[in-house]
Amino acid sequence: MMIGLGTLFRMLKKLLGKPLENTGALPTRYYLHEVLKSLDHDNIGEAVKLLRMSKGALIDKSRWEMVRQQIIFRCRVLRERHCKRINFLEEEIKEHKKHGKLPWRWFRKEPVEKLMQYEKTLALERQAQDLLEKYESELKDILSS
Amino acid sequence: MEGKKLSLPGALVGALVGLGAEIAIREMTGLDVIEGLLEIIGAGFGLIRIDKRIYESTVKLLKGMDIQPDDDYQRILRRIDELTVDLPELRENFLRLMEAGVRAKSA
Repeated sequence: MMIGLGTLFRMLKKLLGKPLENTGALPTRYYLHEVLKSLDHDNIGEAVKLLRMSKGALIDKSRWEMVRQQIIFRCRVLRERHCKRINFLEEEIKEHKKHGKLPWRWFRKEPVEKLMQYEKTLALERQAQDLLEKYESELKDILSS
Repeated sequence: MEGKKLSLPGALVGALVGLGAEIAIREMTGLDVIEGLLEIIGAGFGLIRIDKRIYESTVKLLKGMDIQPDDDYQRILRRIDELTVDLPELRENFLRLMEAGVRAKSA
């Protein structure tokens, strides 16, 4: 009996969950489950969006708050990781520019290509870091809004 | 047995009365009946396991902290402190997990 009910609820969740998700009408716990699923895949944008939708339920306030804190924490860990990569790339670019001025390096194509790659990656890393910073401040502001 | 007749106006009146009652209760007591009912349905959706899911996520977050193999307990604690400055509940959970880990290791 219980297994049957569980299967039925799971089926209903699958059928109704996604179409109703954007309405914000589903129970907080549904959203929290989805937020944690997004967090598992480091999809912070989706996690923030879903958490915003679940705002307002009194019963699960403490759980909601815990999940909010978890996303902020993950943002910080990821930002730290990006920061390390940015420092490394900046050092590499500096080294390449310094050695690129040497005469025997002028005719070699490889360092220029490598430099371009580093600069491209650096821009992406900075973009990711800014995005995470934006999400973090958004999460902090949820409480006051 | 006589078959029951369904009345559309009756259903509409019923829905309106229900909506009126919901608004009246919300206005008088501040309680949101529909939201409460949805929460109960939510529990029925097999979502009662949320606490376990939050716990699993906490463990995963702790594991994903880029801890080096040579990092000692104090250094990890300092890092947790830095990253959870304004997140007291999460910090507490992390500390509890760490303590449990240390106890399990020494046992």
